[in-house]
Amino acid sequence: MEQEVKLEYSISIKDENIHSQALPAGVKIDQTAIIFDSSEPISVNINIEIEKQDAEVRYILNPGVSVELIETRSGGHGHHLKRQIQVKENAHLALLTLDESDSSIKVSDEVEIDRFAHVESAYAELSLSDVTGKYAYHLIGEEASAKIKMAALSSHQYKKTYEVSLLHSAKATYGEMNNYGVVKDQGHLFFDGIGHIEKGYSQSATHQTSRIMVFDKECVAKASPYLYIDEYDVKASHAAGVGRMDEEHLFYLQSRGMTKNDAMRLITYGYLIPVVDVIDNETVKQAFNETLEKRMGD
Amino acid sequence: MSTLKIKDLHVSIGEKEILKGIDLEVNTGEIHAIMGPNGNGKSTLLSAIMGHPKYEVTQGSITLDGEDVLSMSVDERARAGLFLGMQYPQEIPGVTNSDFLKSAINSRQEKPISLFKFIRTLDKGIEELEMDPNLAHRYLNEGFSGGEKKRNEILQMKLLKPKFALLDEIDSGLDVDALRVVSDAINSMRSDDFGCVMVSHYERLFELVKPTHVHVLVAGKIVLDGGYEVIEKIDQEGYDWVKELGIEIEVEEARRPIILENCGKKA
Repeated sequence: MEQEVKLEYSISIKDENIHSQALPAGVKIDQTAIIFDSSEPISVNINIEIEKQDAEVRYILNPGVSVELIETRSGGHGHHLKRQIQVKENAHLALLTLDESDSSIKVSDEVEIDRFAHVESAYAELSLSDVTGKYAYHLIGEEASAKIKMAALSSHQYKKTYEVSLLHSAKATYGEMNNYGVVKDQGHLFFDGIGHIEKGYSQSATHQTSRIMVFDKECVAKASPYLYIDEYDVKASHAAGVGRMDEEHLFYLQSRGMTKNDAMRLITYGYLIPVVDVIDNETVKQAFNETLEKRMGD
Repeated sequence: MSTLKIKDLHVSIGEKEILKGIDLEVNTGEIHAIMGPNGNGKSTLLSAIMGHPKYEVTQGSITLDGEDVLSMSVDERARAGLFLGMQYPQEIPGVTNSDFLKSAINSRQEKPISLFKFIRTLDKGIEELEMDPNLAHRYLNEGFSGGEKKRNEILQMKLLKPKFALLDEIDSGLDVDALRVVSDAINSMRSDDFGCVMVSHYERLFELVKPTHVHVLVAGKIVLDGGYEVIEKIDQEGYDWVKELGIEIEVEEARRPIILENCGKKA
């Protein structure tokens, strides 16, 4: 079903406070915080204009609220964006962060997830720039859960480094991350996945997968999994791999008439596209595909 | 009429020569059955015609209507009219059947297929092959049963309308009903514009899709050409009689189990 992107709201960070036009019902701004509080589900698309060297934004989801949020960014070359996200009891957040700008940036996310709250967070990182991302998810309440997906493309001579962590500090918490990357030309791409279950927090589970597909000889890629488990009666798993595109996949598609380039583009698309599934929005999927196609041809 | 001509084809994987001089001529309007014991080169022949990078052609020629197939890339061979229905179709995550099929169809025509025509053609094929109506939205072969994968190969063949289809054990993994559906679909393609080379171990498929020519491939060579009577002979007697022709059957190397205690053993 064709679905329009919800009305886009622009937020600029240029001094101590966040500035915005009027936000939809259930969303309000309090200095550097955007607060979600409504009994109805909220769906909003926010573009953040970064005009400050060290920019901060806080999202606060009050108990029980359900939010679908698409965040895009503009400006901010060489800046540091710090996002703090508080997901309170029973709240639900589906967050898609689209970084398609060409601004080198450092981003730090600190996400706190309380009892019975659930977060699905996806990072689509197709920008032509250097990016350092440090994304920390802290499961602080019983039965809190987080699912993180990342799709990153690094090309030309750009360097992208991501550290994604799941810290379990309550019983029966669930964390899962799937980091997928493609690196071409002389690009660099590094994934560090960290799962940490602290002592006393039994029946928790932490799972991670990191895979990077390498296109060219001069690429640099590394996927490193880390598991720190200080408790018995938990589940933990990791998988990490760096490799070239599967020759059998290429042969299969080419044997149906697709050129090698078209086959590679389709495989890459299939590899990265699940990231946008976190929010069911055809327009976003199409835009992601168009950007990916452009980047693959660059 | 189109002709696929294979002359004195030698194919190796690494140091090992698998095909040792194959001669075969297939015209549109004909269905050729290739039978032979496991590990003697049947699948290698079909994959080498399609241009699988694992196989190196060391001698001989393949032409399609006089055009040199060996100098073509895999996709050029497909666009020239060859199709390989694979024994083990690949699973490609994230790529939907719909995106895949659309790209495959568009690769062989200048103007992209209209969405309406594509959906209509796909739905018709899905219905004819009695497949899952959600197929278009599922990822390519991912989570498909063996039978579904084979039907999907036949669906692709129907949509892409090749001059020559090379079907590698298309009947393996199919139950009786699915075999009938797949056979009907192959039979519906039969025409003066379509030729087919089918590899199978079982008479049942050839009962349903009657071949016009039968070849027995042993030790990398075609050792016998004939008609349906050859299939019946193999079905009743196996391949032992081949030895009477003075030909040694190559036995597929059985995979040796790895014994754990060997791993830590010092040489």
